[in-house]
Amino acid sequence: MLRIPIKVTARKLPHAGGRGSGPQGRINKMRKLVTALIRHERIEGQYQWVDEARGYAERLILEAQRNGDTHKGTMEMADYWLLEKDLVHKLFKVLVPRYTNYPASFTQLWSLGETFPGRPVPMAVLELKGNPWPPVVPKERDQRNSLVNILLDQARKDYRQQKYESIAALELNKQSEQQTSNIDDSSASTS
Amino acid sequence: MALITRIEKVQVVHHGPPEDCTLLMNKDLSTPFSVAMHIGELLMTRSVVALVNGEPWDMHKPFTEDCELQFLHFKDDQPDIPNQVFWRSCSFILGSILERAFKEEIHVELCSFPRPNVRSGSFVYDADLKLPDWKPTSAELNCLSRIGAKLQHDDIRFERLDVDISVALKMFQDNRFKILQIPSIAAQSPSGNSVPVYRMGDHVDITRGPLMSSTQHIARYSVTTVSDIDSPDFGRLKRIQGLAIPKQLPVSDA
Amino acid sequence: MSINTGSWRLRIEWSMGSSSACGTNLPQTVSQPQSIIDDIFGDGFFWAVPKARRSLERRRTRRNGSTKLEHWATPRKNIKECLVCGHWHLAHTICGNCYDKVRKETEEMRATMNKNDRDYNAPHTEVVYVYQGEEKDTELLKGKYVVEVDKPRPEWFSKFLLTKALGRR
Repeated sequence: MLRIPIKVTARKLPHAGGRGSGPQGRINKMRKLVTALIRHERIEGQYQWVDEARGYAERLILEAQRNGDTHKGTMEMADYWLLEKDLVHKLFKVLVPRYTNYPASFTQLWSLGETFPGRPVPMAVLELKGNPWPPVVPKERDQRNSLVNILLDQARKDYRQQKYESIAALELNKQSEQQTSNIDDSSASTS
Repeated sequence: MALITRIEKVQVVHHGPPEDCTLLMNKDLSTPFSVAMHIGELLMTRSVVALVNGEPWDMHKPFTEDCELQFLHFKDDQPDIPNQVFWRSCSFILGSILERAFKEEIHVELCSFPRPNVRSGSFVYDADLKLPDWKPTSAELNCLSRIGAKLQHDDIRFERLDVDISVALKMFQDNRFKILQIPSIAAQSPSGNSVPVYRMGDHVDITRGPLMSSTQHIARYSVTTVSDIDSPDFGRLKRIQGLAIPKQLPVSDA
Repeated sequence: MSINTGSWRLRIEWSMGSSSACGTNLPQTVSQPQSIIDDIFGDGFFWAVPKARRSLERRRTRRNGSTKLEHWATPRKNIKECLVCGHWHLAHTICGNCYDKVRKETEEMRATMNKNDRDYNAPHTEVVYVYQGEEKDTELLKGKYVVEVDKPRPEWFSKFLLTKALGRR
């Protein structure tokens, strides 16, 4: 199972490998992007190309992790998708150990938006997780003390308190009923 | 002519985004808000209070000496000071609503509001409404809430003034609670003789402050309950409670 | 052949193989045209051409477009401020100013690595960048490809990357 949402149909990428390159041009473009991603661990590009390449890279790492380097099909797949052959070693010796027992997706995609002024093409950053580069976004802020969260916390606490009290009251009622019924039984038995 | 003195300069060092910088501002004239106007629109709109030499300072209170300045907002790492200031300002606004909302025959005497405590879940104002048996319907409470919620479009500033005790007694001569409180408040002040007074549009009230920069920070404002209390000092009063949420922290409409 | 009627031009193509062109051997029969319209059009035919002029309004709507104008004239509400640097960015994107800083630092780090190892022979272990004044002989760095950077670590770049990566759901 891939850990990222992908569409069932392949995205249409006209002129991915230049005008008139056709489906093979698109595949060549994807191979270049996957190779660059495995080598540099962080690449920039047009959002649609990079997003499309993300799925192939995820699948490649997943297959390598699942089947190991003795599986013939996986090796052929790595050989096809990685244009530079030293990266086949990197895939099996660096990335597979890095992502063992890894619960989430192996890659991360950040949207950069369009540059203005300039070509209105949405750009993106694609990276392998656990890379040595500085983090793209800083650490998330602790929002526990924001006003809305304090109010919500307090409301939750009050609700829980009310619930416990109502449960306790119910149990008290039950106990008192049992006691009265016991008394009734005992009185019946004595009479 | 003697009253108009030469304008002196103070050096203000600003820390924080978008950049650390040093500005020369006018003494007893420039405020943190004017520094924000120099730096950028972002600080003008989102800043709730300022920190001047590590102490909370109103956005519209003039500088008195060389200082280090920092602007605070609701999404800070530790937003305790902005939260408290917001809660205090909402109590202040609640007082103005009570004075405005009722008919002229009903003379509402505002008493006081306790220290702001966000964890209590509501801000409070104690007042004598002269309506001992009044139990407000939800429509009436809604009317009170509307007055507060509409203030966000008016963008009214909170301005501080330290007045002499005799002036304060004159200002609040028709309010028996405030006249009782003024001497003790004046005794707490550094000079021992001045009373801090805040103004929001037409409404004037005594509070220690600081208050937030303007009413535009309010997103939602509702008056929730009115209940009877017995105060040890002032006798039988009504306690009005409310709830508000700032614009910078959006909540779902659902 | 073309005929100008007002500002519009009608193009008429004569059909091929008229009697005057190929039937040279046949005796010529002279026949008077029935009307002037037949003389002009004869057995030609029309190409598909615009039948009516496009009005000013239509032309301008086509070029500028009501929807396009509306799009550019309405103020955007999805603009957020960056809490770190105070610059503005669109809600679904990352802050461009902060990312420029990251990109510059990344390129500098990349430049410090051995070019052969970086571009042609990828190391078979994890790569770790060690800044000036940091320890190189710790347990964590044992068996790893260490690259030294000749400058102190930037304040905003924390050191937690030296530990093993954890997944982020």
